[in-house]
Amino acid sequence: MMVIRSLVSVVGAPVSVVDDDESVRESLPDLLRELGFVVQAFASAEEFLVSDCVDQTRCLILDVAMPGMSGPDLQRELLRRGQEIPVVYITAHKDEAVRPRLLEQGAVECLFKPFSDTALLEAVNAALRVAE
Amino acid sequence: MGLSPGTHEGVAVIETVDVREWPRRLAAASGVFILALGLSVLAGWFFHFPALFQLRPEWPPVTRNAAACFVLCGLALLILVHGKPNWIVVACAGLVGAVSLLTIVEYIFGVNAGIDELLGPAYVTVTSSSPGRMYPAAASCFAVASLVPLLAPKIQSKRYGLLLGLSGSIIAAVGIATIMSFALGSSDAFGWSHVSRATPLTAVGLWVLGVGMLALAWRVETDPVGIPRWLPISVTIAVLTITVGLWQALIAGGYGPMTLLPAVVLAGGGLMAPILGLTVYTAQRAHAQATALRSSEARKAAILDSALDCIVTIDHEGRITEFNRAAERTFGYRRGEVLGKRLAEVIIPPSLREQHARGFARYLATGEARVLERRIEMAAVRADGSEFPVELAITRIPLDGPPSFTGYLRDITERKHSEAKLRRSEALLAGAQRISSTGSFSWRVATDEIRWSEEAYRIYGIDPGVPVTFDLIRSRVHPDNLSMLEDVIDHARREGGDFDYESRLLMPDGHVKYIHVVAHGSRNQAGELELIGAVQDVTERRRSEDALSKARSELTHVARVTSLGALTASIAHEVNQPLSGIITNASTCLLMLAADPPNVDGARETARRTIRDGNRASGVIARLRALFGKKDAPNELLDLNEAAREVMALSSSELRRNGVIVDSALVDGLGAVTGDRIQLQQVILNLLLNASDAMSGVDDRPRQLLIMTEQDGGNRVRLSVRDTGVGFDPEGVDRLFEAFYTTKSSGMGMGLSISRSIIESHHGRLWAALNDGPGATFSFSVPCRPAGATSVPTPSALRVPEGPPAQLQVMRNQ
Repeated sequence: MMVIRSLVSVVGAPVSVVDDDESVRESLPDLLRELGFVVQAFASAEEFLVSDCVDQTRCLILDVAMPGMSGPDLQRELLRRGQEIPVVYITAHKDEAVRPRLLEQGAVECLFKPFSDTALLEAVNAALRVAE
Repeated sequence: MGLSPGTHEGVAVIETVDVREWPRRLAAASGVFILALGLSVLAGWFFHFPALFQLRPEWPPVTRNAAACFVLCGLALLILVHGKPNWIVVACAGLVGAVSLLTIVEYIFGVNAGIDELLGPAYVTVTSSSPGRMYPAAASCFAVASLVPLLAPKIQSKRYGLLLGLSGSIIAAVGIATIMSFALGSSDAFGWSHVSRATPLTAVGLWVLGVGMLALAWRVETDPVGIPRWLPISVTIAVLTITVGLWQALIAGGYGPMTLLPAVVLAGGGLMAPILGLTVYTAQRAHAQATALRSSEARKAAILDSALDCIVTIDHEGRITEFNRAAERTFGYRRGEVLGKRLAEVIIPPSLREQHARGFARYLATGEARVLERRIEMAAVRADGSEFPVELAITRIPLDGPPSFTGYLRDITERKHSEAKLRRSEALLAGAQRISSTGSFSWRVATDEIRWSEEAYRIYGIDPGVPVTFDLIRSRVHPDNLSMLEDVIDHARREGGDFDYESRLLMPDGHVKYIHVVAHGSRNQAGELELIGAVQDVTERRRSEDALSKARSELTHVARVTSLGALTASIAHEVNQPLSGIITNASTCLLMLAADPPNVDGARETARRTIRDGNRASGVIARLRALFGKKDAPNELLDLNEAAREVMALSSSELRRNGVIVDSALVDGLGAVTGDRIQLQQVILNLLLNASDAMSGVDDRPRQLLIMTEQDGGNRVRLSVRDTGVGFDPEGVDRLFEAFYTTKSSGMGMGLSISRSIIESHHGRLWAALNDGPGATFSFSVPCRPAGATSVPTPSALRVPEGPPAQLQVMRNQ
């Protein structure tokens, strides 16, 4: 465990989680906080957009399919606003065709649920590196 | 003519009786004349105007009494012509009779009864034996005339006619004799010596009175021939009377009684009278016979001509002697052509002529008849050579001499055709019944007389011809259906109504037949209730239906598996979601335990979440098993909302993936639905996926899906799925539910078809409607138990009779 923690590149970096699944909103932030990040969780893209975290978030962990505005929609909206927040997609749909399209759109990573804590940490670290 | 037993047509001869008017008019005219004569004479006496009662001064006057008698007789005659009232006639006759009889008494006994000048003094008395006394012949005539009307009310009309005729002829003859005696220069006809002499005026009056009475008698006479039977006697009497009158006149004129002329008159007249009477009688009889014969002939001709049957008579040589119009029409010969020809050569086909000739010869020789007095069918031939079937009856005409025969023939071509047609249509019906496994029956309710067609016997497995009773029917009806049969019978007896039910038969070999029975009641002419119906063996159909039901269930399974493909991703999502949670929580837990100091509370919390997510994953698997496991789920009570929520839970990620916003409006407290939960959920899932598909190309508006449940009246619940998709072509709305109809590039087009069949098997209805805005709404409605009720429904409560109230509707599977 110490190994994993030592991998955290930026301790205290603000990370946001947007997922309509409540259990994800419960478990994922807890894990990220254990790893040393500052985490905010949102149930929808719209909720995230109106929050004041938009400017501070260094890494956005984003669900792909959500009612209303989807993950990629949110990413496009942020780009339109000039907010270049690195995005890590998480999805329960193991659709290999989706991944390259998302990466092409500028996502840092696309994780298929269930994913390991290591994979998550690597992706977040990569995102934070992009953010710098 | 006698009618042979071979004919069965009534013969009616209608005769009209010629009511002659002239006797009535003559009688009336006579009455008026006599009345006028009498009144004019009385007026002459009263006004001292002798010309009126004497005509010439040297002639004897008409007495007042005679004039009064004429008035009374004229009056009576007129009233007799008119018919009533009878009492006036009797009164007149009584007065006339009294005066005339008293006058005769005066003459005979040489006395004066004091009646002669009752009506006034006889101031003119030329050749009168006593002033005012009428002459004896007139008195006699009046006496005779008065006798008849006096007797009239008591005498039958026929005898009255005879009496009237005879009296009339006597009176008329006296009148003529008197007139003749005047013409001969002697005024003494019936003028007894030294007594009053006749006057021409009285003679004429008497003659007219006699003629009037004769006319009246003629009218009363009812002989159809028209000539009264009393005429010969009347003629004899008249001639005798005239003869005697002339004889008397001659003697009074100076001839001695034994001189030649009176003797010749008396002898000649006496001889002539019976001869004339006899001649008249003979002529009358001959006329009557001729008339009777004529009318009999006319009647016979009328019967022959109007008979619908051909009537042909032949003599002992077999030659035709009569050939009526029907025969002319039927055989195509004119009567004149065939009279005298041999029957065999005219109407009997060549092939049968030999046989006919033999039979005819045998009868003539031995008297043995094979065809007489019987109805036989044979072939006959027309003038054009065509043969046709006839029905024939031959009778021997009961006359002396060589035998002759009457044949009645009837063309039965039509009947033969009808019979053949009937046989054919019966055969067709039997064939049709056989092929369609449909028997027919009739049931006369009052007498319980039941008739079955051959096929009905076959369906019930009973030998044709066995008398049908309800006990026999009961012996075949499946024991489970017996009470229903009794219900149906009772109902039909009581209400006389129609029935329509399905039932089962249990055959002796143990196999079960399904039958469908339909009957319609009507009343026959006697007002008796009779049910006529059909019974159809629907065993095959029932088997097909069962097979169809099984096939449908298998097809439903196929469709479910097909949907499975579409749901794979969704299912993976549903499973991955909790798996993800489990792994994340476990990782967190480890991290928390590895911290220094270990965060035990946090670790406990994350471990709990791990368990929760594990359960969630297991729930997903359980639902999947429920949805895709093929098993014949029994009908269960289910909550439509719960079923909808489960389907929504399973499909939410799939819908979400399509960017569909799902809203639900599920009304609480819906009535429970009895049905197959899995099948209904299959329908809901299908509607949700269809709605999602319909919105997959929509980018200009939210992809909104609304699932609603609501109570639809007291005993139904409705579920609707509303989308904002592309909708459908309103004209193709019916095709939406057809199998293999699809607008999608992928998919079998089975979804809605199967959905509808599932809903219909739940006695429900599935339909589609376009929204006011974009998209469509698909809804189904199924029966439910009353909202809020909790007890398990009994089978009888589920049996909801439908259809017209006049019919007894018995549902299946009772």
